[in-house]
Amino acid sequence: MSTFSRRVAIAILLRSAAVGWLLFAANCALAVPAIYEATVFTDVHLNGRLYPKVDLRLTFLGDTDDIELARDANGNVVSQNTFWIAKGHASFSFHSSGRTISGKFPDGEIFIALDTEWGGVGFGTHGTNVFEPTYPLAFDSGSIYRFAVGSADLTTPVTVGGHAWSCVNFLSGACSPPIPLKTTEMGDLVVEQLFTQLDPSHPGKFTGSYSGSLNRGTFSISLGTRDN
Amino acid sequence: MYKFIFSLSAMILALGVTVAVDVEARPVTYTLRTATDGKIGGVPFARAEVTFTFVGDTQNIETQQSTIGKPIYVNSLGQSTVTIVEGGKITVARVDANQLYVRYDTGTGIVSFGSQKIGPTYPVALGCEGKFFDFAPTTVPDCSVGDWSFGNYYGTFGVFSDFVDYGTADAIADAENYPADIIYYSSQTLAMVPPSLARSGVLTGSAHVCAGSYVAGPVGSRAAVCPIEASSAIDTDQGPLYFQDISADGPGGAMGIQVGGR
Repeated sequence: MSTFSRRVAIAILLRSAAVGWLLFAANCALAVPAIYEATVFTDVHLNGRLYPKVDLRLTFLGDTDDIELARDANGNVVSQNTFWIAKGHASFSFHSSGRTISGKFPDGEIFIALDTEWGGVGFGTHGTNVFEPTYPLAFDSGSIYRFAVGSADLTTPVTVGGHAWSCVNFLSGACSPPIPLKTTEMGDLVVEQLFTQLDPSHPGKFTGSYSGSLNRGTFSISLGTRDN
Repeated sequence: MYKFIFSLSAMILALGVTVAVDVEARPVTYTLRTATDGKIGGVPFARAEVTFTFVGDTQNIETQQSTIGKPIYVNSLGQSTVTIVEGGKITVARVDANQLYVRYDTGTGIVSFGSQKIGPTYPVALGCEGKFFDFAPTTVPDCSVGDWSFGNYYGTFGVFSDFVDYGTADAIADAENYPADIIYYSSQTLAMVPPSLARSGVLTGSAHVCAGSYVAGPVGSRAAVCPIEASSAIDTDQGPLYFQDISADGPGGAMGIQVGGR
C-alpha cells in the first residue's frame, strides 16, 4: 500500500470511527426512561363488571432507545411514518365509588404508536394478530394533529389533546367490538368507544377519522422517572 | 325524577329567578382535564396536563335563565383543586373558597369552570366558538356562542361547518337546535350526555383557556393564541394561579361528572 493509500485508509477509518462515535453518543443521549400517559372519561369493563364513565388513565413505562418503525404481527413494517415503542410496562387505573382500581398489563400486550403522516398517537395492541394502534386508547385531531405531523418524536416532554378513540378496526370507518385486554391479576379489561358522530349516508360508520369521535382525552410524554 | 326536576326548572325559568332546583342532595365531583399553559406561584408551565376538580353537592346547583331561554346550571359551593402535571412534576393546588364554580349553559352547549373574579368561561370552557379560536365566520366574542352555532355536519351554514370540533356538549345542543341533525348522533350517544350538572356523564368540546378572546397566531405556526394574562389571579395554597393558552394548540377537553359514590 502506498503512503497515499495508507493515508486515505487511515482517514476513512478515522472518519468511520468518528461517525460511529457520534451515532453511539447520539443513541446514548436519546436513551432515557420515558413515561407515556393517556387519559379519557369512558366506560370500562373489568373482569366482566361495568364501570361507567370513569376517569381512565393508561401508563406506559419505556425507553426512548426502543423507538423504531412499527411492525405488524407478522413482523412487517407498517409504514415509514408509523413509529412505536413495544418494549415496556403498561398499566391502567381509574376511580370508582371512592376507590382507585389499578392493574398491569402483561409486557408485550400494549405498545405506544405514533403516526406522523395522518397525525395520531396513543396506546395500541395487537388484538387478534392485527395491528390495532387505536385500541385501547388513541387520539387524533386537536393539538395531537400538529404534534404528530410536525416534530413529534416520542421523546419530547409534552401534553397534547384531541379526539379520543378506543376503536378496533379503525380504518374500516366503523368500530368493531372492543378486544378484551389481559391484565396480570385483575381479569380482562375492555375499553368502550363512546360518543360517535354517525354518517347517515353510510349506516354503521362514523363521519370521519377525526370528527367521528365526540370524546376527548390527553396524551403526555415525560422523560425520566415520576419522582425526579 | 329528572322529569320532575326539569319541569320544576321550566317553571322557575318562567318566573325568571335563580334558585337551586335539584331536590335530591347527592355528592358530586366534576373533573375537567385539558392541556394548556399558565403560571403558578410565579413559575410558568407549558403544554401541561391540567385537571380541574370541583367537589360539591347536587343540592347546590342553581338554574339561571340564558338569553335564549335555556337553563344554565351553576354549582358554586364546593372545594376546587387544580392539578398540573408537566414533565413528570405534579403540582396540586387547593383553590381558595369562593373562587371557582362549575357552569353548564345548555343553550350554547358550553361547559366551564368559571371564576368569580373574571367571568363564566375563565379559566376553562369547553365547546366555545370564536373568530380566531375556531374560525367563526363573523367576529363574535369568544364563548358567546357554542361550536355548533356556525354549521352542522352537512351545514345549515355549511361553508363554515366546523363539525370536526364537536364534542358531546355540542352534539346535544346541535340536535336540539337543528332537529334534522339528530341523524348524526346515535340515540345511545345522546342518552349518555348529561342534560344538567346533576347527572353522571361526560361533557366534551374544544378547550378555551383565555381571559378574553384569542388572536391569530404567527403565520404558519398556530391557529390562535391567547394574547392576555387574566387581570386577577386564582388564589391557591401554591400561590397565584393564571391560565393563558399560548402553546397548547387547541387540544380539546373533557369533563366527567360523577354523582354519588365519593
